Amino acid sequence: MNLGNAKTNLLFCERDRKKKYAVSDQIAEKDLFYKLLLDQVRNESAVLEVGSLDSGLGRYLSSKKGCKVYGIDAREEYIEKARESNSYEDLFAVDLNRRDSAVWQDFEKLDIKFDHILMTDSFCQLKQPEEVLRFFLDKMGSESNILLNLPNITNLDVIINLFYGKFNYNKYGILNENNLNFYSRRSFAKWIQHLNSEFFEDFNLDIYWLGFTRFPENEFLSLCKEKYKALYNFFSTEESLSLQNCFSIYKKENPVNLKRIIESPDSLDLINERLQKINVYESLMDNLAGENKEVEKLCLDISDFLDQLALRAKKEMKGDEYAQD
Amino acid sequence: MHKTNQNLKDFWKEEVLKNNIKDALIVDVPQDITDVRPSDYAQFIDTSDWDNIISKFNFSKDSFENIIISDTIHTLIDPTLFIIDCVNLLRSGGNISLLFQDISSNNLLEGVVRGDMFYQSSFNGRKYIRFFTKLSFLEWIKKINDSLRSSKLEVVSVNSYQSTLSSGSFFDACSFGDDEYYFVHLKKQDFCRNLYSLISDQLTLNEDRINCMEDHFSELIAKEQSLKANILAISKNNESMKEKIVELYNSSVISFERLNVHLPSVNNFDELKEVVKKFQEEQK
Repeated sequence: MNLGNAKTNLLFCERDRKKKYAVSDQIAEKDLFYKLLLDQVRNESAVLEVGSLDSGLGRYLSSKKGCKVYGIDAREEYIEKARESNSYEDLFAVDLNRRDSAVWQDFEKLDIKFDHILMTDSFCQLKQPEEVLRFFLDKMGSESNILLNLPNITNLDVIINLFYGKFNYNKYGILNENNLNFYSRRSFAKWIQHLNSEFFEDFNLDIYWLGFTRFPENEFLSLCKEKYKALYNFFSTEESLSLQNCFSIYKKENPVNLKRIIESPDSLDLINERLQKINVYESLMDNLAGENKEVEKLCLDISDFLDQLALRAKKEMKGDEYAQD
Repeated sequence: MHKTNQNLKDFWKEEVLKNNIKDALIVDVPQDITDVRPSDYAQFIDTSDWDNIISKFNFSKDSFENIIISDTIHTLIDPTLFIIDCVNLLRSGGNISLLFQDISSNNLLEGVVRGDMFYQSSFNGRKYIRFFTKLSFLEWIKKINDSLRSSKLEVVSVNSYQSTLSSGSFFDACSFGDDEYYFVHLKKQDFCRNLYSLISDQLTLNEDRINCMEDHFSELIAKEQSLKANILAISKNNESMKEKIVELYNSSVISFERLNVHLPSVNNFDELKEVVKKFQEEQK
C-alpha cells in the first residue's frame, strides 16, 4: 500500500470510493505504533479515546489493562460499533472541528479527570488543535498525558515529490485528505514551544518522543533509487524514512525534553553538515597539495644535500691522498 | 510573468481588474481591494466555516457571472466541495478568479523540508490547512471536472507572482522555481483543452526542475567522492615519498661512514628535515 503521495491529487475527489486502511503487509508497523502508545497507558486508568474507534484499542485497554475507557468519534457508525463491543463507559458522537452540538455540551459537562487521552490518527485532523488541546488539558489530572501519533511531513516520499512539484493528497497515509496539520519531530516541538509562550498562560507543556515507525517503501521511492540516485542519497535519513512520530504530551514547569528536541538537528541540518564537510575536504585537499609540493622540494633538497656531502667527502679524500703523496 | 516589484495584494487586484467584471460573488476579499466591487450583487462572506455555507445563503444555481475567491482555498477543510459549489452558482461561461500558493516554490520548500508548515498563514492572518503545488492544483481541477456532470472548469490562464520576500533559500543554488503565488482564471464551459496542455507543460517543467536538482547533487557527490579519493592518494603519496627519502638517507649514512663522514641516522622525515636544516646553516 502506498502511504505517500497519490499519483494524482485526490483531495476529496473520490468520495464514493471506500477508504482503505493500512492492514495486511503494514500490520507489523501498525502494531509497533500501537505498542509505542499503549505501553504508556497505566493499568486501571481512565482513558479517553479520541477518533479511530474502529481500531479495537478501547476493547484492548478495557479487557487487558482494566481501564475505564470513554470514546469520541465524529462517525456515528464507529460509535455504534464501539457501543456494541461493550468496552466503553460512555461514547460521544462529536466532531472536534465543530464543537457546537448538544452532544459536545454533554461531553463538556462530564466530570472526569482522565489519566490518558489517546489520539490515534486524529490530532492531525483538527482544524484548531491548540483549542482542542486546551480543552482536553482541563479534563486531565496532574500526572496525566495525551498520547498521539503524527504523520511525518519530512518523509522522503513527500520531499522528493515536492522537488517534482507534487503534493498529492491521498486516501490514506501521510497525505490523507483528512490531515490538516503536518509536522516533523522538531517542528511539533517548536509548535508546542510556541503554544507555551503565546497560548497557555498558567502552565507549560513538555513532550516526550516515544519513537517512530518506518515508511514502507513504495513504487515511487523504488523508482527514485534508480532515477534520482543523488537526491535519494542526500535526502534519505533516519528521519526522512519514518512514517509517523509518536509523542506523549504532559504539563511540566520546565519543559526540558522539548528544548532537547528543538536543539537536535533535522534532516536539512544533516545535509548542510555534509555540504560543509565537502568544503573542509576542499581545503584539506589544498593543504595536502601544498604539503605534496613541499615534500617534493624537500626530497630534492635532501638528495642535493647528500650529493654535496658525497662530493665534499670525495674531495677531502683526494686531498688526503695528495698530502700522503 | 514575474512581478517582483509590487506586493502580492496589488498583483491580485490588478489581475482581478483585468477581467472586466460586471457582477460577482466575492469570497473573502481583503479590504484594500474592495473597489473591484462592481455591483450590488456582491456579497461578503466569512469563509471560516464554509461547510454548508452555500445552503446557509440560499443562492440559486447559475446566480453569478463571476466568483472571486481570495486567499481562501488554503483555509478550508473541504476546498473540493467549495469549488463544486462555486461551479453550481456560476452561469455557463462564467468565471472564477482565485489565488493559491505553491509550497514547492524555492521560497517555501526549505520550510516544508524542515516540517515548518504551521507558520504558513494566509495574508489575512488565517491558518493554512490545505497545501498545493501548481501541478497538484491543476490535477485537482482535472479531478473535480471528472466529478462534474455537464459543464467543466477550463483553466484560461495561470499567472505567477514571485515573492519579494525570498531570502537565500537552501534550494536557490540547485533549483529554479521562485514563483510562490499563482492567480488562476477559470471558466465554466462544456469542454477544456488548455487545462490539459497546462498540465502537460507543467510536467515537462517539473521534470526539468528535478533533473536540475539531481544534476546539482550528483555533481556534489562526484566532488565529494573525488576529493576523498584524491586526499587518500596524495596522503599516501606524501607518506611514501617521505618513507623513501628517509630510507635513502639512512642507507647513505652507512656509505658515508666508509668515506669517513659521520651522519646521524633518523627515525622519520621530520628528524631528517632537522639534519638537513643544520647542515645548510653550517654551509652558510
